[in-house]
Formats: sequence, structure tokens, C-alpha cells
Amino acid sequence: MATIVRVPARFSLRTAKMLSIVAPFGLVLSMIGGAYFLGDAGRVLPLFHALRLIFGLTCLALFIDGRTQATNVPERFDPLFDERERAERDRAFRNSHKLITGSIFALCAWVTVARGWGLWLPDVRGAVDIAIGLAFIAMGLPAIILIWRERPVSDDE
Amino acid sequence: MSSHNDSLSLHNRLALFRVERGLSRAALAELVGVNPQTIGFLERGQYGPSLELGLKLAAVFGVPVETLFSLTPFQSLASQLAAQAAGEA
Repeated sequence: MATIVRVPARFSLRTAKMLSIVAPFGLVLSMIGGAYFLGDAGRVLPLFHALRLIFGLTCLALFIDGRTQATNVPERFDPLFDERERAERDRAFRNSHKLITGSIFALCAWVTVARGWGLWLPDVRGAVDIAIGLAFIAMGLPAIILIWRERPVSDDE
Repeated sequence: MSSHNDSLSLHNRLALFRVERGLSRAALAELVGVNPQTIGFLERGQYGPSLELGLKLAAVFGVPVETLFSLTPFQSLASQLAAQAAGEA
């Protein structure tokens, strides 16, 4: 009889779902907000620094969460998942890739349009901050997708 | 199937067999070595199993795999009984 080893350190589904909404939206808003609402001498306001740290760490926590942690280690950890979970994990990574690639193209399009029409563009520091935020979201996105595919355990009893 | 293991056209009678044998999803999952949620996904037709998992499930119930899974919808129990009764008459 095969024994399935469960992945440790998982958020509850409810917590994970809440964080999966709060983290990416909060990070995007704090990155863009920090780049747009600059303080004295063009410095980012401390509030936005704090928000970025909180939401960035939340994305990191989702990344470390058991739903995807075994994706970043060798195949010997694959038995932690059954075939459906592996298929869903692979699909989540493919969809994340599509979403992040689309976002990068959208940002490139915005830069092109904003230059031509004289619309708002972040300065270099703001642009770097937004890129960092995108990297954090890219890290947490597969877990976010998996969280919304998961069903409460009570449904399967 | 729309994509690999994304089952839209694979029908199954897994829930029927499982309930008839008095097995919970967790117990069946333990027998075939998958997460209990996977049994739920299979029963709802939201996931098409690999050949290996299909054969394992069939072995648990002691039936051929085509008794559990089909590319065409299974007849409902009521219509099967009606057909059987008509045949006997």
C-alpha cells in the first residue's frame, strides 16, 4: 500500500485564499503608489516602504507554502504530490509564465505609449521598484493559482 | 479531453462503486496512493486519471477498467433497471 507523505507547513485554505488576493494587489499598489507619490527630494514615503515589505514577505510566504515548495527542489521530492497535484502544479507554472510575460509586455506597451503621449512614467528608482514587485508576484503566482484550484477538505469527506 | 488529464469527456462510475463498497474517499485514496481530494476530482469528472491510476482503481473494485471509466456516458441506474425489467418481461 502506497503511503503519501503530506507536505508540511501549509496555510489553511481560507488563509491562503485571503493572502492570495491581498499580497499581489497590495504589492502592485504599493510599488506604483510609492513611485507616484514621492516625498521630499523624490524619496519614497516610509509608508510605502513598509507596505512593500509586508506584501513582499507575504508573496514569499505563499512561495514557501507547501503547495509549491516541492516544485523548486529535485525530483526526489515529487512523491510528495500525486499525479493530479503534479499536473495542476505544472499547469499553474505554465499559466504563471503566461501572466507574467503578458504583464511585462503590457508594461513595455505602457512605456511606449506614455513616452509618445507624455503620460506618467516612474523614474529609474520607481521603475526598479516596480520590477522588484513584479518579481515577487512572479514568485508567489503559482501558489496563488493552486490555492484557487484547491477545494476545502470537507468537500472530499 | 481538452488537455492532458483535464477530463471533459471521460465518464466514470467511481462514486457508485465506492459508496457500494462502503469506502470513504480518504479510504479509497489510501488504497490507491493518492490525495483524497484527487478522488473527489475524479468522481466529479474534473480530472482524467493516468492509465496506472485507472487500473489501480479497477483493481480495488475487482472490475475491468472499462466498467469504471468510459468515453461515452453511462446509462443511469433507473434506465438500466427499466431495460432489465423490459428484457425479463
